[in-house]
Amino acid sequence: MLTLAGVFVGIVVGAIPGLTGAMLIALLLPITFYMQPFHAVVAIVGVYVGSVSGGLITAIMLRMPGTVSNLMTMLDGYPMAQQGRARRAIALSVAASVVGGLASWLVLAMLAEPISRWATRFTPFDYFALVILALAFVVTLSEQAFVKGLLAATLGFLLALPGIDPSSAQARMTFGFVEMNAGIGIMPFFVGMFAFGAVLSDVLNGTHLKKPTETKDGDDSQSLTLKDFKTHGGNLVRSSIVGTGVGILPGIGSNIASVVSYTLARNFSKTPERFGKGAEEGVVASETANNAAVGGALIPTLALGVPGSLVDVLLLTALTIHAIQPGPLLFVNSGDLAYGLIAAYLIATVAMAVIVLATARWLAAIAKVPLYLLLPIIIAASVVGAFALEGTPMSLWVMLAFGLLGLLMEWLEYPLAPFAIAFVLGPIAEAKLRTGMQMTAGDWSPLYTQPIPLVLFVIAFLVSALPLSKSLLAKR
Amino acid sequence: MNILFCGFLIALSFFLLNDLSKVKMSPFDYLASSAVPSALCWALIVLNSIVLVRSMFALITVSQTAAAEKPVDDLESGSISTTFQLLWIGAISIAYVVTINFSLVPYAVSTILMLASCMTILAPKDKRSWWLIFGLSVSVGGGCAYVFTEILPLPFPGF
Repeated sequence: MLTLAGVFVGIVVGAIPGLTGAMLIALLLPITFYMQPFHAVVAIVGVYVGSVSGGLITAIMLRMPGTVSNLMTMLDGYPMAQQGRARRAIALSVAASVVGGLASWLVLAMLAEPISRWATRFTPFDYFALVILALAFVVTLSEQAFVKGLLAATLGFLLALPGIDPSSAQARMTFGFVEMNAGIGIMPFFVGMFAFGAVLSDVLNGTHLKKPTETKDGDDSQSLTLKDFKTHGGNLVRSSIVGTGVGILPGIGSNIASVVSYTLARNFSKTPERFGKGAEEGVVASETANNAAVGGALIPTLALGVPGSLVDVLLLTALTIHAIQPGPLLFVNSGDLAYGLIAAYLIATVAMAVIVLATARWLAAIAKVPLYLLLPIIIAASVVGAFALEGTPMSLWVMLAFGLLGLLMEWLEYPLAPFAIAFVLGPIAEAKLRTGMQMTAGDWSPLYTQPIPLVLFVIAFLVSALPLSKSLLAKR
Repeated sequence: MNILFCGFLIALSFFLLNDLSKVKMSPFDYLASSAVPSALCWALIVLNSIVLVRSMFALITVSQTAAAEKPVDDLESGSISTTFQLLWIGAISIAYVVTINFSLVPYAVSTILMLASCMTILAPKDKRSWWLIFGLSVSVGGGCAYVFTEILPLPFPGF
């Protein structure tokens, strides 16, 4: 029931342009603290799946993608709706979402535990190298410039370190303030960045003043048949593989998956000139990939404790709040919870299709609720969210500060994903490195003599060097 | 603005390095508590310097090419109004947090006032419905106060 409720709320929030799944999950985290760990996690998975798909209705009907991952769906979905094929566009999108979701669920169910069992043999140095690789992926594959991505990741890493150092019990970067000894709380950080910051960003961009574009009524009698699955079969398989694969890469998420898949579909199409004018392949590619990316992203999150996307960072935080350590030991110590989560993902994918099809007309109406009424309510919810866990005045100041920092970074085009992921993974990397140093009595050599760290560092180097060499070649 | 941001981050890095220089290395530690943050501070200084130089170069290039061009009317694009709205929303949010942190007014009152003022500022003039704003603010603010001070015992200032 919690999964279904999560899917429904996620769909509603995803349908409202300006509100995101990350925002909703950040606000829900303090509430999940009062739930059983399993209930908390399945509710979040429901919201995650729902929010990715909720925006497809408004993207097709109103030309307002509820989330960025529905942007590519809008390019062909809205023209289809204008041609009087709105219902067919929605049906195709939902079917594609289900296929993408189920394909990635299959991969998740098959690979998560073996990867996790393999990772239990990791030494602290191996894990350190893995985190560095994850950060390299996040920095280089983010949409923005490489230097800005690296800067954002460095800043996120640094801001996660103030407080009492758990290894030496020494205070660092606290400037003598006792309130800083506990460090920067993860809840005020996330609520500030992704809820309060998003509100400020919406106001600055004037999202609350934008008006939706209506579609015209037409002949909606064309429903889906098995022939459609045959026609789009190749596209569905390719987009599922692309979505799952891109989702597995840390920090990339559904947005990039839908762009890559859409571009590939256009390149493979016999009629590429129809893309952007109501091509069914475009809608199918985008929706298959963005849903497949959700399951793909859950694989490194569950098996390695390395978040596959921004929303997965919040999922990791929810697990940490309940004292559950995600990563290699999750399937050993909390197997029920891990498999429950995988099952919840399957239920959420199917439930999403039913709910979206049943409520399509109402969702288009919900998207018309003015944002100028909703944004102030999100500010009130942000204050509650930041205050709920710690209950200290400091948490509210942190929430405000990170909201303003998030706005500033978005405005100056610094990517937020490397910043947030480095904030979560940075302290883990430092702790693993120091544990490794303790085990080897200060010997660094395993970092370059052991095969796993060496291979991971080489991949990280190649991943980082590729965009740099590309830009250098482009300049020549 | 990017130049100011980078300048601020460079200054912050030096400030943090100064604080980290006071952290002593534990005899049982092979890597000092200050080692990783110090490395990150230096990385931040280098990266910010690169972005700073790039931004300054871009600013000079843009200033030269745009000198003869007529400035865009911001009033028409609406950017002035959204910037003012943003400043107001920021100020109201800070005031809201101050009232909670220093228990200046009851939580219900501050929430209702915050909601009403934000909705008033954000709503387009032709669509501003006082009854809707008042009703929604009172019901949401009152509801929040009831839930978070009566049902869930959060330490918000009560009546």
